[in-house]
Amino acid sequence: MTRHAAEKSDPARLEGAAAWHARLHDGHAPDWAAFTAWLEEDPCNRLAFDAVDMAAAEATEAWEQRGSAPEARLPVGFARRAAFAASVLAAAGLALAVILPPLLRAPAEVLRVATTVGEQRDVTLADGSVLHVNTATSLTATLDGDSRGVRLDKGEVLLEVARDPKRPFHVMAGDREVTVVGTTFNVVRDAGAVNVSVAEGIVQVQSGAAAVRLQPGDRYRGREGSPAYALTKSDPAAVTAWREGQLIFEEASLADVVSTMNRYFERQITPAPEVRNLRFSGVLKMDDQVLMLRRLEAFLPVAVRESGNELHLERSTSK
Amino acid sequence: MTEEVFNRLVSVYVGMRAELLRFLHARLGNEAAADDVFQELFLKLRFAQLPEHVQNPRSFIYRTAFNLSNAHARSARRRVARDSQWSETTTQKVGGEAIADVAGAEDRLAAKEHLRVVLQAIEALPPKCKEVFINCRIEGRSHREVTERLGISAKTVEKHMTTALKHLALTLADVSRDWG
Repeated sequence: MTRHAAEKSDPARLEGAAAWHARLHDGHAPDWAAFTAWLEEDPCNRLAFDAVDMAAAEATEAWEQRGSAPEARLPVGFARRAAFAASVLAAAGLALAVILPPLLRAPAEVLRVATTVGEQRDVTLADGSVLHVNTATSLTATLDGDSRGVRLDKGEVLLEVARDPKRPFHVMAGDREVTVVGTTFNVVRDAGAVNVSVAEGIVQVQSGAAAVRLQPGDRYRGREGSPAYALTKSDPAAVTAWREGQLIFEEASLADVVSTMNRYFERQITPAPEVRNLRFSGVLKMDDQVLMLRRLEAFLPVAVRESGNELHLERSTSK
Repeated sequence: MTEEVFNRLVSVYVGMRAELLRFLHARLGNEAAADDVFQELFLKLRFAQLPEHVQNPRSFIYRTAFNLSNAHARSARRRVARDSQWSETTTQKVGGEAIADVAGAEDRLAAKEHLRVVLQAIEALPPKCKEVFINCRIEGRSHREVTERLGISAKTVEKHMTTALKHLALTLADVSRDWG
């Protein structure tokens, strides 16, 4: 590996990798056999190609963030603004030291994140907080000098909030507002329901004037439009399970299981009315949709019927 | 996608099994990952929104395999980077809040610094090279579109892309979180 470490960033090798990347990105009739042979020639070629591909992806991501995050261009804009402020203030004969601090406040960083069905993405905010964005989700994160916040339009996000007592972190999910200082917790907004579960730390959920404090392992379930909620206990470790490709259910209705699965796959599953209230407890490994349904068939008296692109869950006749 | 297109793709895919596995193994450097991506490729062909007509199934399948294997390699690399960061952070938290705060501040700085370095690397490209890179890679235009837009030959587009990618990889290999 030490040889790799030294040679993966050897300029000539990187140049070769970059040429392949450029050619394959969009070439007409690229020579895949020749590319395979080049990779097989020396393991360092693969590592150099990884470096090029990673750099291309990082550049794309950084450029996209720059579009929505004025902060990224702070040095130029800030210098210009501060110089302008200074000249105005000097002309007015005011003491710079007194007036300038409010102008020094960092401008808001605004970041929009959207994932497609089946996509999961991790986003690190400028404060060090990490958003693990699950399938079919859209959200906006805003950071400025006084506050940090995420507006969850739909979907699911697991938040690891960097501790900062001076800047509480708010998550708006429909008419629920979740406030924390630093912790790990999960928020789902899907089909009118808002669910919050806590892995670490203390989280406050506010709906109108009513607020409730959640401890690790607490699971809050509410519906938009009503301040009512249900509180249940679960294993704090289960909160982060989706990141390991697992869906954990405890006494969940089949309707809930299906609506969770439906966020991960394009093909929507429809449960028949007579099976919607069947209860399921267990761990479903997220892999192939049909395989997941087959596993459900083993636990519950249900059967999968495929018609065209649709999947139906019905009561099985054999059990 | 019609069932007919899918069936045709699958029969080509099955026929390409040996060469695809060889390609994936070469690209990913390990057999288990190659098997995983080979399976994933099938699911992709089955469930993804595919074009109505696939002119050349072989090259379509290779391109899909190429994109999947690149994404797989990147996410493996990021997972390694994140796991090592995570264990460092939790170890520090044991020491108490004050130390955890320092780690938070460092993370924050690192994320900001990283973004700045990447943007600086793009800004540092020669003007024409930067324009080609942004057009092709970031805005997702095809090389053909870019040749028409910028009035340069396909060879020149490829040359600028190579220079841009090499420069970015060289700059970022030294500083990237993912390269530790």
